[in-house]
Amino acid sequence: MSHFKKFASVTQKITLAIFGSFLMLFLLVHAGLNLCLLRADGGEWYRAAAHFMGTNYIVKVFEVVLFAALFLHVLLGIILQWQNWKARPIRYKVPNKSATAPGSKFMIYTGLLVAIFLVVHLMNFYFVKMDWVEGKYMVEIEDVQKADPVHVQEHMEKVLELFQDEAQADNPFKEVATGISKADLVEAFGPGFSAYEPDFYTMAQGLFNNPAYLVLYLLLILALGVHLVHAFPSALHTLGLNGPCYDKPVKRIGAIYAVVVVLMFWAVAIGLNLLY
Amino acid sequence: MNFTLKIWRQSGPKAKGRFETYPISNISSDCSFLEMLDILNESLVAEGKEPVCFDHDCREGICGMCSLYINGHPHGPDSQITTCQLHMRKFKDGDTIYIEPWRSAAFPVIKDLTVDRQAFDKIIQAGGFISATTGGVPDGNAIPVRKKDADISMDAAACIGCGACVAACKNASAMLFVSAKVSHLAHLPQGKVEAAERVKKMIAKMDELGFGNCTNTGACEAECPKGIKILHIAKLNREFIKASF
Amino acid sequence: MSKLDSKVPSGPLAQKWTKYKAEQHLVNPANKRKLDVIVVGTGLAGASAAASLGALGFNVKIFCISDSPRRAHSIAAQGGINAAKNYQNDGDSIYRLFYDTIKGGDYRAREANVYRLAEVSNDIIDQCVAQGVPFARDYAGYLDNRSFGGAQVSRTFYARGQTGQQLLIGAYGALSNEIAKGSVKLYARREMMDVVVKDGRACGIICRNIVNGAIERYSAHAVLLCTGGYGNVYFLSTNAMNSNGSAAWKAYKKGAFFANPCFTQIHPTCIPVHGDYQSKLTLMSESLRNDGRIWVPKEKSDVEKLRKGEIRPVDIPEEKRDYYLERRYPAFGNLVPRDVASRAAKERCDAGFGVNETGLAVFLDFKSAIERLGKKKIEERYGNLFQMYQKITDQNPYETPMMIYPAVHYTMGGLWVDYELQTTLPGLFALGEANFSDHGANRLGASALMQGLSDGYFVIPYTLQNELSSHISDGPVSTESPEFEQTEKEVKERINHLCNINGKTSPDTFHKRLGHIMWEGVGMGRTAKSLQWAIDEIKALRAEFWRDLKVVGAANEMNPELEKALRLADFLELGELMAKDALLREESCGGHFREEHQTPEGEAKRDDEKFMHVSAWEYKGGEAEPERHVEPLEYENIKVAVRNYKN
Repeated sequence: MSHFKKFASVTQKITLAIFGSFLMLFLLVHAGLNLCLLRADGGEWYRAAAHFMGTNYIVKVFEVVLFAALFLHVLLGIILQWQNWKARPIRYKVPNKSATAPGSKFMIYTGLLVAIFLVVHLMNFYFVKMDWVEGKYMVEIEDVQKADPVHVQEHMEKVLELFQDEAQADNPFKEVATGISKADLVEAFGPGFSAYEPDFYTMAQGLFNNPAYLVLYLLLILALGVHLVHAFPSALHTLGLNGPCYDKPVKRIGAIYAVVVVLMFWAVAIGLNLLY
Repeated sequence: MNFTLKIWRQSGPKAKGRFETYPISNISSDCSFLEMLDILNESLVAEGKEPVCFDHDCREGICGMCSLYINGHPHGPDSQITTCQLHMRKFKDGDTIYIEPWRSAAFPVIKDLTVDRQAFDKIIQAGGFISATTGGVPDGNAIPVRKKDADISMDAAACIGCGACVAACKNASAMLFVSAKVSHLAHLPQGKVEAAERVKKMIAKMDELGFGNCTNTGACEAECPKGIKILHIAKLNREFIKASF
Repeated sequence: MSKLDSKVPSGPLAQKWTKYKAEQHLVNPANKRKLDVIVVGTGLAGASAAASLGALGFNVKIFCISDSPRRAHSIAAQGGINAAKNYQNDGDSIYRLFYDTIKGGDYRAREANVYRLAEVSNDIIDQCVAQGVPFARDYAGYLDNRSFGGAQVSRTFYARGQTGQQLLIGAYGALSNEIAKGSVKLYARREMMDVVVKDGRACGIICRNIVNGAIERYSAHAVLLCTGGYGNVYFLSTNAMNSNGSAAWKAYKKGAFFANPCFTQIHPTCIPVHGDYQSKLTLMSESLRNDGRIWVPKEKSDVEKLRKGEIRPVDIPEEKRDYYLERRYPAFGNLVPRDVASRAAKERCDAGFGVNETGLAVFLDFKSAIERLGKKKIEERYGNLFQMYQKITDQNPYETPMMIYPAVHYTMGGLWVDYELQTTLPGLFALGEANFSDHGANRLGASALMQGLSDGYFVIPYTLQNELSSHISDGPVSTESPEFEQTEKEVKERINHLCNINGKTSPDTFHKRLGHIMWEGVGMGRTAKSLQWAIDEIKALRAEFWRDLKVVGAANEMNPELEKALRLADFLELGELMAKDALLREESCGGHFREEHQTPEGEAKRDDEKFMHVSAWEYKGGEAEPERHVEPLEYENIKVAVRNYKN
């Protein structure tokens, strides 16, 4: 903590704002990708996008940057907030009634909700990718040859079951087997098999069809939205990018941005719940 | 008009404070808030009790001496005024009015509602001036100043140093005060010379004195008796970024 | 030979200051470090003096009654500051500013001082601009001016309606710079209790720490009183609540003469009194008279209807309005000097034309200005003043005329000082409103700021060196001397005495009564009878004060009641001296209007034969009658005339 004291408060805030801005950009990309889930193509686009994000090296570099930004944003947010609490050791009896920018008074709390959401979200998706948590998986048909042939041969019945496509009568086999559990994966392709990917599409479908999860998700995204309403103009303000002519537009764009992000995430969640 | 006053009483800087209740009646609606407290004090003195200590001086909203956090608002519920300009017509007959001192680690209570605001002086001493000593300066018209800049500078310079921004801020941040000074001087050609040093030193001093950080909530702007805009904080941030190059 | 040596340099008027500066003694930088200077007060005069002296290298200690130097009441000056820049090309010059100031002061100010003031006025503007004072500017970026009462040129520089604030913040910035450098040490929340005199020379002060009640000693080679005026003797005035006359009064009691105490300025444009609980009067800037027109109804029947609320001011047609200033003074109209405007308002109200319930108010109307310039322009010029008016009175001056009435505003009198600003007590100087020097019997608008800064920035740095050059080998002044011991003891005894009267009446109650006596007896119109009445009443009130005062709380803690009592004890003596001075000045001049001495048209009638002098009072101890000294005023460079603002 003493090390951070050496940086001026404004430096800390500017850093917070820079990382926050990066996260805001990321949210747009993420929400955009999510929209692919709504396309009635059995997850084809979405899987392609997820595949790209999971394998492209530039994206992988960005992923590191993203997590660093997230970590520092949270850390600085907490440090600054801790200083802020210390600045008023005795509170007022009557809570402050001054007019303030929407959401601005609760940034640490909405931030906390977003953090909780992130933990759940990462456990559901990112941890699966990292193989720390079990999820659902998919295997492409040509990758079957990467498995131990002896094992596949012995468990051909299971493999066929996974690739069974009841929807199409003329071609009974799918190109990609989806929604495979870890146990089935090991059973069909053997313990050494690694040519599979997490099946986020199926997992998302499953989660959003759980009403409790859906409500929680919608609420936490709303918290994120409240966070963003203030985050956008505040970040620009802290970066010095505001003036008499920009003030109103910046606030308006901030509000629009927050609403758009919330609606995009909500649309996918509600959409998946209704469609499947 | 009649009111019930709940006033913070604290006998000294280290003493433990508490709220005391004082009913007060027959107050004219044209009476100012501080005159209402004068009336209360006269009645306390008549009873041989210690009057309520509060800071005040010019009573016309310019010296910045009066403070008071009234029912959740620094300088009370009216906008763009100081407590001394607040009139009782802004309250409803029978209201209960909570009166608290400015609360901030950097503004310790001296007695009752009086707080020590010397922290603001220290911030100014860190660099809130143009170091032109007396004599040896050019003619006043030697350097033209764009009217727009002079006007913005004046907007910022209107700060009276009362501390309402700190009192209103959920973080007890002094950024509006500091930014008003930085912006006032940075908009003038005379002040640009020292602008970089000034902003860095003033912020360092502000941090050192235990003020909180700005989270751009705008409470300060809403309560500032002189209507100083938080856009000056954006200007400060800009000056700060410029200063690091 | 008079006891009063004004030390005005010889030679032609325009050369005096230059000559003084050329011939004065200086103190070299190494020696300045050995010299301590105490500055009491942090207004324009105090802050600018401390900053300038600190920058020169003196060891300065500055004392501030509030929590910060920026609170000093100079901050409340609204309208502007005069300077003879002639940026408007309208015929202004140093001589003309000098002439207007002398004339505005009704020929009761010292020529040489006023000329010097006019001379350095231009430097003040330059200095303030360099410090970052955001004066109003035109679209080309050059400094803008407005006109003010008593002048036919536009020479007033302004920063919206907050000129005093901006100038003070400039001086406060300069002071803060010196504090940061260590050349000035700031003592906040200290109130001067007394001057310490050793071997006939001021050598320090005794202070009370307002936070904990401690009595503290401070020594120096020179003491500068920059403690403002004593208008609060009237209880209701435009002065701040903490403004008081005690420092000057204590100096008087230690041997400094008090000059022209009766010269009080009543400002014509203040918000009228509205209740007996009122604590102070709010000034509306004189600049409003640039565009506002002052009137009362012509007919008493309209006055009656107004008071009953049957008609609104706007219902009275033009032909039934009496724009009495324009009627009486066609040349200057609404821009006559303050004393003239105030008396004219009083005359109308005394005649029964006052427009509010108390009958003590006249209208200040912006209707024609709004029609001529548009609401936006008026808002730009006076927006904050209009807002202030509306907050206080709950009336919108854009729609209905303002109501105004004169109120006590400024005291031209003060400690007598010579050309070097030194009082008759060696080593003690008085600057700004605390001295008597530049405004004669009436101060023009926008001249107080000019005088405070002139004294602090450009006069005292020279004259103090001249004085201190003979004290460089004195060595440090000790606070352990018997004189400090004795003075501190007296201060403590006085405080104990006040705390232990244990009577029934609060300081404020006494103060209100004193204010009433002063306003009735020594107010806008004075007579020998009213003055004698005031003297008797004040004496009686003073006796009652010392018998029946009640101070709640202890002396060794923050105690506003004790502070009030200490200040009031001095006001109760000062008020009497004011009345005495007014009684002996058998003429009308400037702010001093003796009703016995007026022309048939009701204008002030001076008696230059007998009273073209400064009266300076010497304290003679205890209840003994003070002695009145006289400094004759000689006008070599201007023709003394009857003030005429008619044509």
